[in-house]
Amino acid sequence: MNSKEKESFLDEACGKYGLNRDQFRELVFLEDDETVWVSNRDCLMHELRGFRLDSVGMFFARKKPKLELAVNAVQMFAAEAAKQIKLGRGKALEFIAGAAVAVKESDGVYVVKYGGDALDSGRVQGGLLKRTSKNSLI
Amino acid sequence: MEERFRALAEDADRLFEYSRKPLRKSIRVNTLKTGKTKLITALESKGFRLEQIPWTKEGFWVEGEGLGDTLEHFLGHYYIQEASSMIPPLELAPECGDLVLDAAAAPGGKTTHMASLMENTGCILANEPDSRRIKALKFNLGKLGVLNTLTSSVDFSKKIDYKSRFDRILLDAPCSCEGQFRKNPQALEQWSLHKIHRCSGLQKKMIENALSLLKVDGLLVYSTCTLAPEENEEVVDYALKNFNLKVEEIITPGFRRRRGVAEWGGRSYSSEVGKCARIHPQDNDSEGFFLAKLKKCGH
Repeated sequence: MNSKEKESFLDEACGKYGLNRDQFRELVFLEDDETVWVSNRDCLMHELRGFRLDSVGMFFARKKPKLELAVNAVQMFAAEAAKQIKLGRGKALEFIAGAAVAVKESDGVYVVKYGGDALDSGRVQGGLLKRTSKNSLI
Repeated sequence: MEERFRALAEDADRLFEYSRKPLRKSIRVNTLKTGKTKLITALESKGFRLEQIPWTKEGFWVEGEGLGDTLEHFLGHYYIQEASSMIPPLELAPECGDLVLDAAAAPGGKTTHMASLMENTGCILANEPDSRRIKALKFNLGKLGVLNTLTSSVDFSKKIDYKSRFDRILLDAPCSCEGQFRKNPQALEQWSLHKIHRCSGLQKKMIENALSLLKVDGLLVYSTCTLAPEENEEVVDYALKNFNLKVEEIITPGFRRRRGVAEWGGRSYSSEVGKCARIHPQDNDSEGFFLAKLKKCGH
């Protein structure tokens, strides 16, 4: 992504999940039609043509059908997200196992945390929280 | 096989004894995502007992069941990794900003270790020719929060002619896995002299190709999890005959090691191979391992 594309992508991602934008200043994003990857700048500074590259950096998000952060990206970048739900240990384990967990928050997408750690993103609908990014694991 | 092991170790009976013992479980703290104290507290609160591995401050032997089922494992706060496998990245010691090649990277234990030593800076090219194994490699890189790595699928047994030159290269070569009998009894069933010779031929091609991509004054660490000299000292000897190299002493403290063997099967190797390190299972109650550190010299 060039800087304009990066800013536009971050508008959407940071808006949806309440991510701190500053943490991405030194990182670069790459995209194809469906996915977005994030890496440090150094990775793009070397001439590695001919190495049959398979991936660059970390899988960050799926773009279709709508933007969805990968679980690894949530864990790495979303611990300070503005839109978050904190769970206790029991509910956290149920949540990552894929179960619907009762919460008080209103409908929407949240970063789900246990202690100081972001576990994954989740969607609240009618008082039930479920993981959104199960399919984001590569 | 027994004869070979007796010729390699005066304490061969202990080698056999330890090769039959179950392997101790060990983990490496992933400093890209958490701190050591925080992880120790979390695991001890779940009833795990941790013991520091003497050669790496991020490594611990762990007693307790369910190490792969904890929240901390899900979060990528630690990687379950055999204790002796933690030595090659420490010995290669990649620095922040380096361009590093991991020539046979899957499943990614050593790659992720190097990424944390480099604090996610610089660039690691993690290469894995097997497309099934590259999936596991990418999974682990993502889970452990690695941002400084590219993956590729070059076959290092074939001639490589690229312009890139790396500061450091790790070649943890595919091998006959004699050091893994404790973890993988299949390796014992599949053992044969033919396999050792086949691996040795492959390893010579791989080290030749890897060395051609190393900068002058750059470092290459060659490692295997086997004890067969044909796959270890003989490969290093081959590299010494074909490149202008210096064998560097292995300096990581805290583990018992033996010097490389200078003669085997009627062949004599360069005396330089004495600087290589052999780790037998009975030395540190770990897997068997071999490592050599080579510095490329100018013309």
